[in-house]
Amino acid sequence: MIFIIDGSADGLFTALFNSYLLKQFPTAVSCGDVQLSIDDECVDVLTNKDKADRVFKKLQKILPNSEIERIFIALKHGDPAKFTIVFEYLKLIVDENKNLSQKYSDKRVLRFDNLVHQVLIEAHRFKGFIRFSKAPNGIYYAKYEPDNDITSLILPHFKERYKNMPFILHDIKHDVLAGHASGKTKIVCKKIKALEIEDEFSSLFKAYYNASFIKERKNEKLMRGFMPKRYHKNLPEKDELI
Amino acid sequence: MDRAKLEILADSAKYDVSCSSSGSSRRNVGGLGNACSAGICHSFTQDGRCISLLKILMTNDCVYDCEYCVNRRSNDVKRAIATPDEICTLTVEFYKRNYIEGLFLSSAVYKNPDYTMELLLETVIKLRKLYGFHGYIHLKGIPGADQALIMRAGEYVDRMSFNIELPSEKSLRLLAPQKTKKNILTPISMIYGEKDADKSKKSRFLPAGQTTQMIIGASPESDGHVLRLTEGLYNKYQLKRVYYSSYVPVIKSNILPSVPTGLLREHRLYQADWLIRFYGFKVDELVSPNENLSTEYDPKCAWALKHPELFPLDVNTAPLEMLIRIPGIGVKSAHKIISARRYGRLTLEDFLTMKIPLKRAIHFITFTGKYFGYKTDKAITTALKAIETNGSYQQLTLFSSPEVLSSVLRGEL
Repeated sequence: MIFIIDGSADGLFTALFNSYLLKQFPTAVSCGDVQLSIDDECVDVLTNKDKADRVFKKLQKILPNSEIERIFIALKHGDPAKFTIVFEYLKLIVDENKNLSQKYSDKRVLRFDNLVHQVLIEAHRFKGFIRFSKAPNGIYYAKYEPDNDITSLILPHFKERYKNMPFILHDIKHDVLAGHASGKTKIVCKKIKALEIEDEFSSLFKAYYNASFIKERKNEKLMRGFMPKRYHKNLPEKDELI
Repeated sequence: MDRAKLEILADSAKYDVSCSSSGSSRRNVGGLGNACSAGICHSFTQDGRCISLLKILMTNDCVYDCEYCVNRRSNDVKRAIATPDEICTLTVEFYKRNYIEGLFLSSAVYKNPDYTMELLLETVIKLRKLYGFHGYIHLKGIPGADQALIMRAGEYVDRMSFNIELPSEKSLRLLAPQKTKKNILTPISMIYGEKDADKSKKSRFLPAGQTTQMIIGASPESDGHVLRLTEGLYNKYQLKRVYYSSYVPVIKSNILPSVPTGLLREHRLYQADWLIRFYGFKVDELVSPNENLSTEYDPKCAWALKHPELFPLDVNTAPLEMLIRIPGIGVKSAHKIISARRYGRLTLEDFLTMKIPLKRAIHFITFTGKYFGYKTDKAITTALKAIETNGSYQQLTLFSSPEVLSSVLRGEL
């Protein structure tokens, strides 16, 4: 049996509530846009705020705030399997009524931990891989395509760093836009075409990038390990046209 | 700054290994930028090294004639000099586009050490005061420059480094005749004294401390010698890092080796350095004074093989400080083991679930008395050697151990 949810955290919490209510536990939880095989029995879960809140309050009783936060981080993962993984983990926590967040020998805990870890690692990487271009109107614009929905995780970092600088972060993969001006930020989900802005400093940076390479130590495989190829298209130093 | 000048000044600076932007949490007080204590890598060059800071020389026009250096006076290379404003503008513009985490400013000795140090000092003061820049600055100190200039610079930058250059005074005299041990160690010791005097977290003096670097393989010193020097520097001056740079022949010389030292030696030194800093090892446990580290095994593995009386260790009872001494088990895995065993005894299967690397460790551990490794010493050493040779030589790099890898992600290298 597969539970179909709307993709929100509340949807997932409602699914957990319903499964205890019906005493029926799904083999998988997924969001509507996933391809299903023909013999899967699907149950639609209607997100219900009251049910979700009750589950959330229960979790708050068992887990410290830092662990609650990790649930929401895990849900930013790009893999649709995340709903099942988080569901299994939360079910374990509720069943045992204990904070088992460090019981790494349990597969359910470990899978959840990996989700969180992957999201946080990517968020950390993008604090480095974001590239702004300065538009003629003075706004700095960055487009990027991360695997996970990390914009809300990196926005505070850039807000603190560029206090007096208006900027826009544009995740063109998840259609998320974050704006900053004079200390105020806003995030919206909206499909907008990516902007192409020419910035004279991008070619200067590419020159710097190429000059920093020690040819005797060439090791592109290592470079790609740290900076995977799928990220290259939004990095000016990797742009062959510049 | 124009492109040609940038290329000359960056090309000359690239052999400096350190690119770390970690250890400082300078805050943005109404200007541009801050420092992130974990450090951030912004890009990776085709040799796999990280770009965190704009690493650049003020000038590559040098009055010194160090044998191994590409910028030595007698070498025929294009020379350039930047103005403090050119450096500041470039740093700020790169920073605003998030290309870099800050500035790593170094210089050849131009005219004389004091003159050069004054130029560097003027640049960092301008960058902080005039350009309102609060990002990370690593400044290379010029040995032999006036002490007041050096200490003043420490008020403005996050980290400073004076390069040891070579692992012995004798080699220094031979290969870098204008540099002296005294000129290098005096400022290192002075900076240590200043930091030691004000240990408060609010201290503005070099929040990220000091580091140093030496070239390995240009001179005959053994790994045992190099690591003793390293340990001494950590203990005596509380250096944050000692960097090793495997010798690459960049210019022709009659007294230098004509072949590069290779990355394996540098890699082994970093592994040993890690064991000293994070694993509680003493140099004496790893290598004797005139010896080199094993090429066949990593230093921890080599140590464990010499101590059969300590192994196998039981993963369900061994304390943390012993868990981290098991070959193949890092600090992270050890903490994972400690956390997980609170919920019950761990089995081999649990280790597989937890993805704890077992290739090496399996021969050194038991699970509540059960041993799964090979039975004879010969079978064990053969297996351990095979791990090192199976493909790892081709991929062998500065950053290939998992600990180093994760620290690269945190921008520590």
